[in-house]
Amino acid sequence: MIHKADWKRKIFILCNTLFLTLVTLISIFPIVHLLAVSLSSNVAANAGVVKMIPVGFTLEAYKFLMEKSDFLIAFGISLKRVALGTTINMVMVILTAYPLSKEKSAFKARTFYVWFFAFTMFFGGGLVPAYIVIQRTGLMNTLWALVIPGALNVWNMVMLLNFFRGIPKELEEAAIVDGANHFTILWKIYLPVSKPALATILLFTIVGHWNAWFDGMIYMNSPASYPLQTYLYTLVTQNFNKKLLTMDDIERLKNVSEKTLQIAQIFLGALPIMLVYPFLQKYFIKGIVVGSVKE
Amino acid sequence: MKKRRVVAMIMFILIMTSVFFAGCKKEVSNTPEETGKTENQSQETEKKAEEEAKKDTDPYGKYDEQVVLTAVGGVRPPEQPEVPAGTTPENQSFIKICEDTLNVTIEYLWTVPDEQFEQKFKLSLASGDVPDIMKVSQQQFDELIEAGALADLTDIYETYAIPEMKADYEGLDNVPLKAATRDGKLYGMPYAVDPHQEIQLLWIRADWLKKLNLDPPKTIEDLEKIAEAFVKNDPDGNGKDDTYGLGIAKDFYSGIASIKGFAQGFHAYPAWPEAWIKGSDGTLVFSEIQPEMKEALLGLQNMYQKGLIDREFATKDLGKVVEDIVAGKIGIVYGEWWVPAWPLNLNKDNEPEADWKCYPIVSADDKPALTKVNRVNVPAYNVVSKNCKNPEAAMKVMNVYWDILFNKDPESRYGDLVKAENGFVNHYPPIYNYMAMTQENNYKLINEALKNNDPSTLISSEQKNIYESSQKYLGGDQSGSSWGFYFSRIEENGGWGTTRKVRDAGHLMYNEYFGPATPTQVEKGSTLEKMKVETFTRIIMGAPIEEFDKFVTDWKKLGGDDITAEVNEWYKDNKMN
Repeated sequence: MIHKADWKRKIFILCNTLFLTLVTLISIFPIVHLLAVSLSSNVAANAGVVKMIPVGFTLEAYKFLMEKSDFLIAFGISLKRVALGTTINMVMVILTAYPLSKEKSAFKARTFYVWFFAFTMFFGGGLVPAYIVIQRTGLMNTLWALVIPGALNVWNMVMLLNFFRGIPKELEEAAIVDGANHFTILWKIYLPVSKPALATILLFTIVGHWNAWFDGMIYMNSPASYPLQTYLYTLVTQNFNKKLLTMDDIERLKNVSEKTLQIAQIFLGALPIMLVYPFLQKYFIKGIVVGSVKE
Repeated sequence: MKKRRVVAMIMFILIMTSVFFAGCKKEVSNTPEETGKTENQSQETEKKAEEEAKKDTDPYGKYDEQVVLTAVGGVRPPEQPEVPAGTTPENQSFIKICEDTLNVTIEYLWTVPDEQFEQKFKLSLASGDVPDIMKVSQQQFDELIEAGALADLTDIYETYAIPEMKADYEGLDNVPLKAATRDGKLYGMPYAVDPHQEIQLLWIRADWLKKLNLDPPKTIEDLEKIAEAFVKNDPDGNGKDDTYGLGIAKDFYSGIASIKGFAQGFHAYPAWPEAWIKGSDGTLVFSEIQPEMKEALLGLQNMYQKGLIDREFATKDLGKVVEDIVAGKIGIVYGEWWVPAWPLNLNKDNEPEADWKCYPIVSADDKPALTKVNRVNVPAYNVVSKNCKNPEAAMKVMNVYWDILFNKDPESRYGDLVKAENGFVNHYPPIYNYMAMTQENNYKLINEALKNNDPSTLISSEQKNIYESSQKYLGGDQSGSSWGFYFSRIEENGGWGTTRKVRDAGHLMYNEYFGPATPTQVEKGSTLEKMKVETFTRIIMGAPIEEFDKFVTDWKKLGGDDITAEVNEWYKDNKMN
């Protein structure tokens, strides 16, 4: 429907544009700032004079990084983790959400399982038991320690479950009449019409795996096997408020001044995830169920 | 329908409880066995240790059979640029040295970046992985003793510690050892630092003073005037109003840009860990609830209102303040002796005309300002697990480390492995002691050597390095790092030079408490500290000073009175004079 362009409408469009531009700029500024600092000279970066434009432009930090094996290795581990973890997560979420989306008459133990999973959302064993489980099951210091404990994300599963429940039953019934079994229904009907939900969950999962740092820190036995975010975390949390300084600490503080290098790594670390968004965005817009069924 | 739901719920509860109890049961049945085992083991260990002590009391004695010590490590990148890339604690040359000379090898259970050490270590302990040797914080030290997890090192220290190490502790009147002793048993080798390192000094940009025709401050009043001139008279001459007087970070207690030095001018002693000073009745009182603290906060409030402190200081951590220092926006900062080595050197690199000078702290009245020092400064303890079969091997490892770092010509005994380019990193070994009196010894020996132009009297390789870089600086090298090195360590009116003067003048206020954290401190300490920092920040930013009185009442009520009683209980048996 096209509105007649009266003055009220014009003001709304103006305000809306201004507001959205502002929000966009606020989101973009930090990234531009990071990029500018990473391309500046070390002295300027340390003095905090770099704003949006590099001061004393240099590619030194990036050159150094490309030769620095730590960063590249951590980057590779993160990619592996995202690939493996996302696959496991998606399979688990879909396979769990489908049966739980059925009516109780079709799946008798449904209530029990829903409670069973919901319970884990509110109660956890805590850090120490989790650590001991990982240690005793022999997962410690392997990539599996990062993907198996969170293999089923209950929150995502509940989201997908609710989406499945919103799919008109007639679709499923029609498929059954045509002789489809549950796997066919899931694969041929539910998944194709659930693309928006799946894209959302996929995005959450990828971002979640990419950004996770804490598990890498506690389950890995040496910094050489850290994923990227754990590696970055250790870079930026140089202990500044050391209150009792020893000789060693003073020596170390000198190293902190490699600020451009830190920022360059943060920027590169955020880059892949920024690239994922545009690719998934189209699924948020299309693939809505409307129109599948005539009533 | 309903019935089924109830059944399902009951099933669910049953499963959960059975899982829960299964966990408990296992723990219960395991514990006595395990403790029994450890007791037997430790008895065996003691016997064995006694036997070996008889046949071998050589501090550097080599074992016939290889001894394995398990360890854990907090890793920081090596400082020396010569260290080959890829050197990790696991492959450092120190392990090779121990294998060659002692037939002791060190196996790492895990390593983690230093900042995360504490957390990983706690988890590791909770899951039952206790390494043979470890370097732990005061809090962990207390907890491990409480849990009975540590070996008694009393005899081992007597028998195996090398005389140089003992002499270093004696230089500190053996107070560090006292701090590591519980019920007459020595549970760890304290990594001791000379407590005088925390003496507060006043750092001022002398080039700005000169430009504005000002004299160095003698009193707090002078200091305020200088700060005002630094703010208003455009000392950097760029025509912009972009300079602050006094640099203060929101974290009040760090080694630089804290409120400590300024408050000490008012005879108040804010500190972390808390300072317990002797009150008028001879008992210990908490320094930060004394009336002097109120005066100090009023002084800071006054500075803030006049715009002499960054109006946004409450949001600036040390890193941000350092940026301002480097950018040349701050002309006055309180700090310890090492600040020329970082971050003032960065400012000098950025602005070569910057000329930082160092002065003793100034007082608000006619009494000299005292600086607070601890009776003892032990950031870490080297400890040995009770289950370690050869606890004396740990002592030998520490002996070798000391021998390499602080005795003459280690190359003659250990070969090229002690060099950085072959993978020797000073802070990589899992346990080690540093000479507490390093600064003092270096200052004396190197100044002597520079005067006589004769480096042959120098002992350690560190001293030789400082000697060389000092000569470079005196020969005209004006880079920030060589100035920072020289001005902090060697220069008579520099960091350590001034620190010594303050120390020798006796302008010190001792923190008399060096016991473990008391039960109430463990329980409520962090809440009290948070309340304290928030109140102080508010007052400095202009809140009515009555808030201080309310803070004192609250502090006492919320556990402070209990802590005071506990501290004084300890003090009865541990008076220093």
